[in-house]
Amino acid sequence: MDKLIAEIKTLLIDSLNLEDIQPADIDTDAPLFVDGLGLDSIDALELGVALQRRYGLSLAGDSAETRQHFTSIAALAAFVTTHRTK
Amino acid sequence: MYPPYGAAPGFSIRNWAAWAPGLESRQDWLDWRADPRLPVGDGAPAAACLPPLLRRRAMRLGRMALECLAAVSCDVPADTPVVFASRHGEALRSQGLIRELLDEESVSPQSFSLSVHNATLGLYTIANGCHANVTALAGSNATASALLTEAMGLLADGLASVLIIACDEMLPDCYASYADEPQAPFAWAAELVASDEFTPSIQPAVPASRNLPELLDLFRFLIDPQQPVWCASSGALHWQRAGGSC
Repeated sequence: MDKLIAEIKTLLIDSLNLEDIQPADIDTDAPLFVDGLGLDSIDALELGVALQRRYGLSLAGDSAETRQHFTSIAALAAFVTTHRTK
Repeated sequence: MYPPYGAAPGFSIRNWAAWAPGLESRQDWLDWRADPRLPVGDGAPAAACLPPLLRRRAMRLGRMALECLAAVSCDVPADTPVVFASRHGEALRSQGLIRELLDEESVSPQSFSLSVHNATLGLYTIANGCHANVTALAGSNATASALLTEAMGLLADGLASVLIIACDEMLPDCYASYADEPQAPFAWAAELVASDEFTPSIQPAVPASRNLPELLDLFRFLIDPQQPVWCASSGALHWQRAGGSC
């Protein structure tokens, strides 16, 4: 799981061009959006596309369930673990 | 011809800033105007005026434009209107998106949202928390005239000053053979106020062969007192400098 968490942090930094941030700067359990990293809705879409490409996930638009998966790196890692197809 | 509502018939420049690879300081540009050359290189400005979360979204075109806009907007009211002109805009980004669509059948939402012509002005207004009237123009080979005409319209409407920003990037290789003028990365911005220093007139078109993109050639005219007149290559609009002779 630690390896996947590190991988998702790197994917997040690369796909969102977070040029001044290192993986170690991202708190695994902190909120990704608005608070915490301060990401916005365009970042959510971008991250969704990156996750779909990398792990073959299918995401259900703007559902409450999808929002839940995107709350933190830890939540994303749990979601990827159970839903990845590649 | 004077507008009926009493505004001055032209404009003058209160402040300007420009950035291109190898031409970063004001003195660089003052030296350049006497011996203008086509800017080349991969450099990009720091765009330190932008918060990092916004800066990461801007490619070089946007960073150059925002660097210049920051320099001319610091002393003006936050609601000063801005006219942005770029012949090709984010063509590099758009071409990348089309390529992505071909290769992967999905496109980057972030890149898509920033490929529109007014995206740079969007970053400017978000970064400054301003609600200014902003306009983004692309007018093919008449982009330079469109920029000045739009700014003149705002000044004639009674606004105290108008910010203008002109910028362009190298065209993607696949479009290069369609180019009808030299390509270069550059941005310049200026604050215009109503005046009679630079005034337009309609005269027969003069065919001109330029060694600069027209938007950059216009900038050279504006900052070089030795240039009495500037003729748009696309048509009959000429701009005179007061005291200059045609």
